Amino acid sequence: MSFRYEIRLSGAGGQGLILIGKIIAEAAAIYEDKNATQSQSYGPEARGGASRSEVIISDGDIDYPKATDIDLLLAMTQEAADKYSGEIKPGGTIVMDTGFVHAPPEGDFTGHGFPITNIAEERIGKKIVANLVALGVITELAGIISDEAVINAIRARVPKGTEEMNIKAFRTGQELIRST
Amino acid sequence: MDSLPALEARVATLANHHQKYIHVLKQHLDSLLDTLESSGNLMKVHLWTSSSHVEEEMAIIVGLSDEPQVNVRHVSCYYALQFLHMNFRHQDILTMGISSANMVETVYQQFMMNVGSDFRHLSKAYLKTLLDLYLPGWNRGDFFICGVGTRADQDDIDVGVVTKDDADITAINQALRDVSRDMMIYATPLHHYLSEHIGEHLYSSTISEYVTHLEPEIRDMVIISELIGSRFILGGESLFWEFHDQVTSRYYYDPEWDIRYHEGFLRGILGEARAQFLSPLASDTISPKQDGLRIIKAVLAAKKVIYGLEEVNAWDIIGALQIKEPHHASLYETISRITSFLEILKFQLQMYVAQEEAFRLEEITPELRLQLADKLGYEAIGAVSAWDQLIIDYARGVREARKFSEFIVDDITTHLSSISIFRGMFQRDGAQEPADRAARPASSFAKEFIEGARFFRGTRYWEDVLIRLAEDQELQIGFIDSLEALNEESRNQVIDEYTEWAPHSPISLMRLITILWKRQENVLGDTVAARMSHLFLEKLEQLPYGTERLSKIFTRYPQYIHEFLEHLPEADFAFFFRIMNRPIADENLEEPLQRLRSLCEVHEWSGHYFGRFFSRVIASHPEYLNHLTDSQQLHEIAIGLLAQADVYPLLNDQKRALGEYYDLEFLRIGLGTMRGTDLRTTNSEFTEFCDNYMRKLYDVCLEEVRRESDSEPPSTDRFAVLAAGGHAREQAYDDDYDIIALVDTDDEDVLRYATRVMTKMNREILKRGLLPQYRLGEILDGFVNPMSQVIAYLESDDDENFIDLSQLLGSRLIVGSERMRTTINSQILDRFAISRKREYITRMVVEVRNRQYITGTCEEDGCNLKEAAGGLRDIEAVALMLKAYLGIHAPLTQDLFHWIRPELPVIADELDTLSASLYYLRTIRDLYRITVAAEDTIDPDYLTRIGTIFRRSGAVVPN
Repeated sequence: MSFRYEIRLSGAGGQGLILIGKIIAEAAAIYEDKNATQSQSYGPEARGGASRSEVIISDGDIDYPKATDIDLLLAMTQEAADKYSGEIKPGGTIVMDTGFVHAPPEGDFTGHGFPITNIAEERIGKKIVANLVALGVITELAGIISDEAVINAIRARVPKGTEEMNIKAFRTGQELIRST
Repeated sequence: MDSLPALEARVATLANHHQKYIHVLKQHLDSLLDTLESSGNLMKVHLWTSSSHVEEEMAIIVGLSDEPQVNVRHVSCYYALQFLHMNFRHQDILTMGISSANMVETVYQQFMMNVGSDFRHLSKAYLKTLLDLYLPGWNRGDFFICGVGTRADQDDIDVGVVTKDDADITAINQALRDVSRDMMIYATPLHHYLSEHIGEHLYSSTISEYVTHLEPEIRDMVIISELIGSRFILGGESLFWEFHDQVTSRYYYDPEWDIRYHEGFLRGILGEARAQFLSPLASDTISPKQDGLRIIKAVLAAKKVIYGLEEVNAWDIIGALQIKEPHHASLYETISRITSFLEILKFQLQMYVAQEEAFRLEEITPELRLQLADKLGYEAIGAVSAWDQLIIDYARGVREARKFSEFIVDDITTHLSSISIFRGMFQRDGAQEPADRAARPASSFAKEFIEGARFFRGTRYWEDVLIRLAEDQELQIGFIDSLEALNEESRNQVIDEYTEWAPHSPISLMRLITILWKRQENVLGDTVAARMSHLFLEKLEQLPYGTERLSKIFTRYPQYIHEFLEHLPEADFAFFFRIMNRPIADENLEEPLQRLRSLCEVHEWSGHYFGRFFSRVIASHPEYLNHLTDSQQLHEIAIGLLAQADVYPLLNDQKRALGEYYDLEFLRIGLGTMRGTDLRTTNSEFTEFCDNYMRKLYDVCLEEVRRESDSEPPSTDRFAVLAAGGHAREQAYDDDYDIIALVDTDDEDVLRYATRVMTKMNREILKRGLLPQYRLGEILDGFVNPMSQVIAYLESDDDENFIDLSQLLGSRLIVGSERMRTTINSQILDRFAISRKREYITRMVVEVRNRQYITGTCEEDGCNLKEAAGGLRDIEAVALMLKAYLGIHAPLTQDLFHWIRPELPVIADELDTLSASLYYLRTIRDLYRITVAAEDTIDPDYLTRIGTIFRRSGAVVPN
């Protein structure tokens, strides 16, 4: 039986969530022999600064490319955590940036909170790579795509000259999980 | 395969995402070559050059294997080659074109048109080939695919798929699913926003599903915008036009049709445009799409539906508009030029930097900057690098895009007002007034409007309606009366419905509430506004990113939020602050949010005295709201105003600039006090600007009288203006200005001249909210008094003259020569106070005792800081006595006690206590004046507020 893994990346515009959605999808579809879809919200729900990207990964056909039973939710703002935590499937996972999510939602899921943006600033020297730190956390928690595929996809998506910094941020995110 | 390394080397010069195509080629090119060679077709397809027959060559490739997946890999490999060749070819043409063209914008435009056309041609061929593989024998008439995005965009292809009701929709969707998957892996991803939001299927919808979704109300502006910009790609073209007639055309202007769809689209576009104008430009990022193209395309789409244009791409629409609106031809020419520049910059950024929409400048390496600038034809000029020139052009382009779009927005707004279904409700001028308006029962107005507005739910633009309401008091009364006529339950229902605007258009709701509040003489009006505002805040608190949205509104319309806060009931302030104090993620909004928080603080902490002043200044200069957190900037503006006062040739302009200088400095220093600036700084800065103001005002008024009278003014050797009272003591925030004006002559002409000057000064001082007070002048019957008259008065037996002598002893020369100062000192202060110090001090002691007997100490219900025993007046009295005792002429300022300390070592400790007490009491007085009221009696209820700021100031309570 084929597996289906649903990821929703949510937060505010400018946090780079669409980019990491594309990286995850391309890592799975191009650099690993998996099927993947990626969609991004740019409709009315995106107004007012919200940003949302969804990735579905499967080893079979994806008939329904919308996330309905979320395996992993990344919430980079309190609003995102409040709005989407109800759609995490039982036993699922939520990853929160505790710099912005001060009231973690409760439910039948496992919560992982890190000050992701602060960590990006402190360890990499740039807040803007918080999305890549989050990607490292997600990759490590989900365990469905290889490091190599994700790193290939990162290299293909980020501007030239910034590859190593972005990969370092990704590794930092992975380390957060490995060390806990 | 020999050519692959060369291709790979050239791809290495492009952004990293192009490696995807090299990845495909490395995986599958060998297999494709083998298959072509073994089947004898190698020479029939172009692998290492661009082909103009891609569809035919793709057909050859997919005819070589029986295995569909092998065919997909082979054709994808061919697509990868052709995609790269196409881009390199166009880059080469661009380089050549730029080097030989006078007008680079024309080359840019041609490049974008050609590369867009070729990309769509190639991607259409690939799409069709995949469809043929996954849906063999598909019936062309069963469905169509249309493009709904920018043709040249290579990062994604936005499409809409519409099927006939009786087509095999399941099979079509399965095929589209597979096509979408392959497009993502091998080519450019397809986006199916329309189908995802309409109907049951994810990749397609039917015409009837569109009608069902769109008919009841204006919903999703993204859907409508995509429909308006749709262009046929493949499938049944007649079905495409049937779809256009039944679905898309409803948004075009047609007075014979239900105009609400057209109006709704325009309201949506205008709302989007305003949202774009509200978005601050990031200082560290460039985004041609977000910063400029989006707003241009939005307004062009609006014009397209107004004129019923069929053109799809921006340049074609602009060309058509130049014909429709020849008076705007040059404006459209500019927009066309900006569009070309921003489009090609976006394209090249994606080609060479990353497949993103926003680009952080720090991520664009020096080599990439050089490469990009070079590709667009920029060359270094002397010390100015090519990249710097490009970025400057970008900033200009974005600024012009917004500026010229605003002109078009004005046009669209005018059109909207002329066709709106609400125009009858708000039109009141003469013949155009609908006959039924007068007959409409009062109860219907507010309710009718909101019922009509229901159709437009989700759109964000109601400015046309609100402007009419704001300008017309009768309409406001009618609006409130119509609510008053409803029973409470119905009224609340209607009010609640208005607050449904909160998620879509908080700015409109805030404006409506403010308009209603301004009609406060109608008690119900206030009730309506209070209920609306409370519900609004409740919704705002629940609204995702409500804080960010208010910050954006504040960047462009700070006065709207200021006016809303002016009226917000105190009980709701905490509510509003809670929302404003939530953390936000968008760093670009952090700075405006800080300013907004600062404005909230001003409203929260302002007393009536400062609040009234603040409102008056902001009403004339709403732009100051953007500088509230930057005291230095406010000060620099104020200094500029003072300097400008010298430049204006007209004296009235000079007076106006001076008044603005006074107001702004008062505002700045008041804000400082509110935020805990120490008393010494406050008093010193306050005195400096007041003195600047008075001296300059004197010059202007003197010049005015000189021009009017055509005679020379009295010399400052003979004319002096002195500040008395609080201003003399360098004490801030007095609500009156005690003035003593003296002339050292009995010449009637000089006296008249000087009096006219003071009369003119008085008029200006009054405009600042200050009451000029002439205690001595009132006693001696004139704003200006000759020295001889004052001396005679002080020599008289009049009991009152002791008070005037004290005022003179505490005064400070503002205008007048050194000679005049010496004259006043010797003839008045030395003669009546210092040389008669025993008499003066005795009278002052009696005065203090008498006052203490009357006023006593502080009462439980309030303490008079000035008059109570041990209050400011007592301390000032002691200072006056010390001045007389020691023969000091210097003003009675905070530092006086320090200066005289060495002279009186025996009472040094007492002097220190007096100094500390004066400092403490004045700090409390200043804080009370700014945050509560301009009164000397402290209401204990406000002590917490005072204490909070007192702590911020770092002041200490004396022992």
